[in-house]
Amino acid sequence: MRALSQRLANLGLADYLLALILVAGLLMRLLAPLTTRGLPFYDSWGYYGNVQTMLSSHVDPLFNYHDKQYYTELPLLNFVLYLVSSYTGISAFQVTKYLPPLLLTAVMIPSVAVITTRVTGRRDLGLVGALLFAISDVGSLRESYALPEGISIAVALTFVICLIKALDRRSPSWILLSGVLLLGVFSAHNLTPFMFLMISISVSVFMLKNQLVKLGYWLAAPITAAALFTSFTGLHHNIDNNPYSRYSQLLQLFFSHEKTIVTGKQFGNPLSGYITTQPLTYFFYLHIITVITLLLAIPFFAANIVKRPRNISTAVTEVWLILSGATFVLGVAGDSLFGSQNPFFGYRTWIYLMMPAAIAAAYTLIYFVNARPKRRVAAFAVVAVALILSVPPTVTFIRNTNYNFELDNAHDYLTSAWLRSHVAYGNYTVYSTDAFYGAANSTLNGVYDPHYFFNNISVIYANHTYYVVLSYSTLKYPFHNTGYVVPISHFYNPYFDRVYASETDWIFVYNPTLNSTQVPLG
Amino acid sequence: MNRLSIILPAASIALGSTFLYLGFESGAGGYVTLSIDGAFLLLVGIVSIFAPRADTAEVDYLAQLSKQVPGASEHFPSIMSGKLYAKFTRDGRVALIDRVAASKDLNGVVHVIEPLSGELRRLVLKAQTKNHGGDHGFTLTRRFEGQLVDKGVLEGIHVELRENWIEVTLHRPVTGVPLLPEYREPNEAMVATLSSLLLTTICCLVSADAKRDTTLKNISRHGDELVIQLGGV
Repeated sequence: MRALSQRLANLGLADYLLALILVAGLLMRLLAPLTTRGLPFYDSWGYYGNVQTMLSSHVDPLFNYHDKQYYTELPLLNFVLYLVSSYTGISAFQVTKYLPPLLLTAVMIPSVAVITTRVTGRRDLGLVGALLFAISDVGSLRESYALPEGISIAVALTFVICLIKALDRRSPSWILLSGVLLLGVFSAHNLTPFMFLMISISVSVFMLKNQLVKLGYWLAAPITAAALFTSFTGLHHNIDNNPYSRYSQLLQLFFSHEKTIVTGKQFGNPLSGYITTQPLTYFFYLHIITVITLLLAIPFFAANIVKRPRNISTAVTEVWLILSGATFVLGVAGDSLFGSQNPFFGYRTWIYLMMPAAIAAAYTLIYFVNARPKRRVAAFAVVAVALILSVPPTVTFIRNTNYNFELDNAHDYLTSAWLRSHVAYGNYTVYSTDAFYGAANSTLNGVYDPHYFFNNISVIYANHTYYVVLSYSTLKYPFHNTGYVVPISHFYNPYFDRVYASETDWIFVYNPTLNSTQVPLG
Repeated sequence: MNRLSIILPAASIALGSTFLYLGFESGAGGYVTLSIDGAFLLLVGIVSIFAPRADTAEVDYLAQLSKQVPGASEHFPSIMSGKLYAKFTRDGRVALIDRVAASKDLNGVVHVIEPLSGELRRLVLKAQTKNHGGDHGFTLTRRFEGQLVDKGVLEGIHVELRENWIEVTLHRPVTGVPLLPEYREPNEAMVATLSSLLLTTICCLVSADAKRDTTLKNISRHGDELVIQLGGV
């Protein structure tokens, strides 16, 4: 306690500035949750449902108990939300809504600051790197809500810090810690572990190329632990198949459209993951901070390609930048050629690139730090003005992206209200998404909660009647995971009457009498 | 070539081949990550067998710098063998402490040596100031810790005490040394280079002063203190 108070007393200007950057980053990340009545964006609802199930039944609904494998998403985010909710008593809804932005801000922004400081050797530039990442539109958006990529990358960032320390010090304890953290990344998401496995391998190959053989061996330890973990645990099916099948599906798409790609006819909007109709200039305005960060990262990238990186942290960042940059190009090309809903989902590649790009961009500013005073002031003034100007479009971007989800949420609330007045009398049983796959996969949920029906598809048995609640959000995204495929044809079944319809939600009631006047959805 | 330089590549190649076999054996949808790791381990093993050792230029550079230690023979007449404690001072000097003397003399510091020339010390201080924000603590000491793990840096070093200076000769290229790429950039490289030099110099000083054929038994570090254990051949 005394040490803590002494440490607090010793805080310097840089610490206060970092705290300020944390607050700014937190505000950006809380924008969507605070301005949304329900849960922001799409993915949160799935996790909310999972956590509810875990709280009531203490089992992870993502885990397939027949073959002991995780088929859909990986468990870390579920368990973090579940543990926080069960130990604090805060409702699953509030935890799902607010914990991810709080947690990710607290971990990711200081981590970016630490890595940038190590790479640049300057704490002030470490703060610049953290600031670029903290208020970046892409970074803020993807950390605003429950998303497996988010928690996975947060763990991955701490892994990178430990990796740099382990390599710098040749310390067994740091290499052990980095190994444990790499396993954490592997238990959180499917594509992120593959990215960081390849980054670790590439760093090791870089060491070998520079005759640093022992460092190559140091790195082999966590990589091998991760490979064994992947192969011989229940997570094997998802981690070992998902990323590779996504890459392979995208490559197959490339090859199956080779003729139209070569002629140039296949190319569409490369930014379809973010905007569909606006011109490119509007995109640059909307993503001014991302554009600046990526442009500033280019000199770092080029300099370390031409010349050997000067230390381990620079080498790690360069490899990270190259691999995430290649994935980014692949993602954007995929979006341009096959639309944003292609199996690779190019939107995620932006966030992968944003972190090393922020570090590299801060490094580029070293050239201005060492410049003559007038030039230095001018350069930093330009960057500062650009950052200030970027705030309104970033806010617009986050609000716009969340707007459609809010709309869905509003309809979902009305649907919940309808259900409350028509269904919530007497005994009822609610089955969640998987109900359509039969009793074996059904998740029984005995807690009546209006939020539960949002963005979900549910079967409710009440008053001796089966109700089917369908939300447009469920149909809009062609999820290929088996647990989420929606058999729409069931709703055209003549034994179901549509009893409620809004723009985005429908409720059907089972009617044993054949009804030939079924109206299509919408 | 030491034992590890045979065991590690052999283990790496064996493990890599096994993982590759398991990965391919499991077929499509099998152990893809394990296969990748297998290929990686195989690469590490093969590369470390055939990889050339550290550049001669770097070794020469180290040796050349190590010569710049004047007046060493006068400083340590009392130290014969056994344990010697060295403490780093924050300005790049090394304080050698004789614990036997310390029991009588509260201060206990035998002598403060400056193994670095004025110019080099200036560079170290500059690097420390520059690095201050990032790495809390003493740069030399931190780097030094890294060097300690790789004791290979001390292999093949021959020391000769000549009147008023020490000559350090590296008879063969140093194996397994964490020679960082930054060696080639003097301003940036100075911290790592000098810490390596520092370690070499201290050992040489002690070893040469105690007895010509004294060998280094062990080096360990506790905080800022470096314990160097010496013994007869």
